Amino acid sequence: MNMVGSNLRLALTPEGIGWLLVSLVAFLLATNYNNNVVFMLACLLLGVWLLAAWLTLKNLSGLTCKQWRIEPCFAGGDSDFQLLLEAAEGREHVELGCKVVGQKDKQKTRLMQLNSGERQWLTLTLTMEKRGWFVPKAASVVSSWPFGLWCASMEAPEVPSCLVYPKPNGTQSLPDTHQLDADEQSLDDLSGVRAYQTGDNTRRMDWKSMARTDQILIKTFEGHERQKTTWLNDKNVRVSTFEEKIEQLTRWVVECDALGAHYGIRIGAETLLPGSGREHHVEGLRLLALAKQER
Amino acid sequence: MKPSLKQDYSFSGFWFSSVAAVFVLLALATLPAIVRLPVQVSLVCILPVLLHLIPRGKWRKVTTIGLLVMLVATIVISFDSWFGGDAIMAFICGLLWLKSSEMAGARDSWLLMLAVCIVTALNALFGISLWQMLHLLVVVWLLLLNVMILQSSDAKRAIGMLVRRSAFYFSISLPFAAILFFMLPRVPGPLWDVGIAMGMPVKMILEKTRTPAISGTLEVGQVSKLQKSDAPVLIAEFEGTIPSKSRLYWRGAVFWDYDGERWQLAEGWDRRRNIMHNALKGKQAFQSAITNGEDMVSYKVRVSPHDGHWLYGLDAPFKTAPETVLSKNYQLLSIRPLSREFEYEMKSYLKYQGTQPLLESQKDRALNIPDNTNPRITTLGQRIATENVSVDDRIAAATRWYYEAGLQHSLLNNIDVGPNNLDTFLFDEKFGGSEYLAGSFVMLMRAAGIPARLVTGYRGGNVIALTNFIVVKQGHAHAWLEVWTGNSGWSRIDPMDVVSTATVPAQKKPETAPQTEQQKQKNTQITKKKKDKKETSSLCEGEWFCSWLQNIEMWVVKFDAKKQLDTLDSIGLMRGTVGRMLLMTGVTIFLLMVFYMLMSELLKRRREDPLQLSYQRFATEMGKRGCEQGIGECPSVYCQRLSEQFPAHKDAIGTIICAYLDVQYGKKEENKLFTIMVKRFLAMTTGR
Repeated sequence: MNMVGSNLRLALTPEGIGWLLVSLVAFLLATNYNNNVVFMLACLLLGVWLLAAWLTLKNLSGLTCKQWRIEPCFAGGDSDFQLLLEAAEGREHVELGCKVVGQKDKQKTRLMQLNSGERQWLTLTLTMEKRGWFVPKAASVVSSWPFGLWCASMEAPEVPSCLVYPKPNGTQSLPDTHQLDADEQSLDDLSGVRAYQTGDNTRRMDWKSMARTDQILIKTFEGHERQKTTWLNDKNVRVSTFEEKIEQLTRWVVECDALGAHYGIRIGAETLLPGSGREHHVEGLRLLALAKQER
Repeated sequence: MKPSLKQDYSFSGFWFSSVAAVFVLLALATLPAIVRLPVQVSLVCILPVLLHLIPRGKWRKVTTIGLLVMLVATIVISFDSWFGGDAIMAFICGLLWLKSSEMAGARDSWLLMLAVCIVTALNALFGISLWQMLHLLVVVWLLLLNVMILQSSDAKRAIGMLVRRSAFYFSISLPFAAILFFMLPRVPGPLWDVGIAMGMPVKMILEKTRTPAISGTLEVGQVSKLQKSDAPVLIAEFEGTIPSKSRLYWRGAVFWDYDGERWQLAEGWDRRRNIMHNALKGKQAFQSAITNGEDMVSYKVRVSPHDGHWLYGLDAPFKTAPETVLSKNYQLLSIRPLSREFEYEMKSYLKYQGTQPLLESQKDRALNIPDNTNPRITTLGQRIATENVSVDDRIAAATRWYYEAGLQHSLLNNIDVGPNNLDTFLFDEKFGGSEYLAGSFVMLMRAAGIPARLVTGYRGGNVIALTNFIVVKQGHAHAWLEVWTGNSGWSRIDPMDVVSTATVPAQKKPETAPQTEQQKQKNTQITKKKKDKKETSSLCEGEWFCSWLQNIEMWVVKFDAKKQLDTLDSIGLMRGTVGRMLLMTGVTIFLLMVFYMLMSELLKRRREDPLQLSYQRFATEMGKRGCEQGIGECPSVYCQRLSEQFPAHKDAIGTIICAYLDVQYGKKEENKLFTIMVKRFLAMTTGR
């Protein structure tokens, strides 16, 4: 049974149906035995059932859903979908949860309470199975408080899609840097010198200039630098399926990032030029999350 | 649609409070049964509590099975039948306690809680008392508390709040319950009465419960025996409103002859030839038999088969149907024995005069007192005859004597069958069935020189609420008498009504014996009230408490379909169909909900802080204009951002935010001023 309000819905839960059936049984017993005490019990149960409908609906009314906050996650892991809720002045909302249509067994919500005029993030944790874009269907804020006989739900704003990275998996260790010579470019001409910065390669120090100027200077070259770059190439992955290759590459990306290595990715025709750091890591994972097998 | 809210059941505190609450609920719900059942059964029922001492696993399962076997064995040994109320109750209680030992989740808790409702309802069937009502209310409140504990994600910490809220919710659910209790259309049970009213064959109901009806002979105590049966006799559907039940005399056998121990019909009365010979024939005969008929009712009757010739019509029938005849005693008879359910249409006058002349032979029979029987009644009758001249005075004197004798109608009696049993009843035992009352009155009238005869049949019936059907059962079996009053013919006297008024003070005695229907009803009501008072008086001492208990009795325990309709009538809600009553109930429930909503809104407004409301309004409006306040953003930071975005209003914004901070953390009395400032600012800057 659904009752549609403005954007509030009220539905009977299985417990509510059970409660109604018990009330009905009590009515039948009362009628059959002309027993007013049993009739009173039946009326009480039915009265509670009716009251519960209003209380459950009231628990959600006055609530405002503001915005979503979502973080990407790895396949097989949990992603927190957070919805900002705001309670109206003078209202309090108890045991609020959230759910997404079509994810019955894959979602978990942390019930929360919202006091008058308060704003809080409501977290819905979804277990992601596949890499790529996860496009959730409609989401709603739900509550079956106080008796669990009815479930009120309120439509939440459209849930943004979530990028699911491939699951880091595989047994191969990181590829050997020396194997990647074929991919290296020749050095270009010296373009000049600059002041030393923390992290610069000490082998490129310009000792002569340093002796002249008493400053630590570093030589700079035009074009790509010849440095130890790890190329993560799908051709180097020794597994049978494309998905396993992706998972192995993801593991390498995670390991490279943890080591602070300079790495590039090549998968099929797609290439991510070598780099390092947070943004490069995210770019790499994104490339792998959306990679498609060539036919 | 089930909400997929997953709760953390591993939280030990949650389970502690939830399990404890379910146990308390279960203990309280089964308490009346545990107290009532034999000790050994009660012990076995609550033994499963010990299962909690055994760790979950194989041994607990084995012990559970052992306890189940023990429960079954104890019930078999302790009760005669499995289908007795106590045996069923014991089994259910035992099962619930066993189930409680393996409770493993919210679903199990729900199952137990719903089963508790059924147990409470079954308990209430074993008797109605105020304690039971109180018990029921406490059980329902505990049920709500349990349900709320199940819904709460942190029940242990919030237990105090849950107790308070469940009590509050319980109290506000009471008006809903009261509306339903007083307004939901009631159907008098048992439910198969509804079935037979709707066309289910009466024979089907009777198959196993058939009780021999009154036939050619009426022995003392026979009517009382019939009254203990619940088997249906007939179902009548009235055209229009059903008359008051006290006016419904379903006329059956009329007895003239008494041999001192039993009443008898004439030999061969049920031969077809005799039936036809004693029947009223032709329009002329009908018109002369019943004159001055008033209060005519039309109805359709279905009679259950009984292999006899009796049919029943309301006193007095004046129409025949195919295959039926009306005897000179106004008995409706079937020409053939009823071997299957029989249906006929009938008309009756509830008020009439029978002016058929009383023949000498009939007069002799109607005055006959068997020799050497009931001498004290004979003496009393003769004394009444000596002291009173007219027939009316004699009847009045006899009735007055019945009033003062303190006679009581009872289905139980200790009177042995014998020639003086009516004397024993009237002067010694003073307890007896309607045939004792009517039979002794007949003898008294005869002794006083007034011709009298005994009439048997049924009185009243169970009205099926809000329909025109009435179900008459063996329990309505009744006997009354008719006296010959000369010009008025045969007049009905029902000593039951006389006995009913036995507790009325002497000064309120009626002057004439045959009471009007209104008087009878009034007297019955007075007696009922006095009986109610007697029942409740044993429970209480103080007058106010007695009065309160009586009100509870009257408005809860004894609030039946008739009282419901009368009450609705008295408060201006006219009687109506089931649909109309349901509609009225729905509308009242809706109005109550609207009232609750208004109250809730009113309370909400009271709870709101005007300062916060005004600031909220200011922030919302500025948010619409492109500068929303961040979550947890300090008002002073917000003020800075606003000033940057709206440089033209920099000063005004600064003043407002400063005022807000001042009022919030200091000068509370400037609350109103802040509201005015916000209103003015928003009004002035709208549309810019």
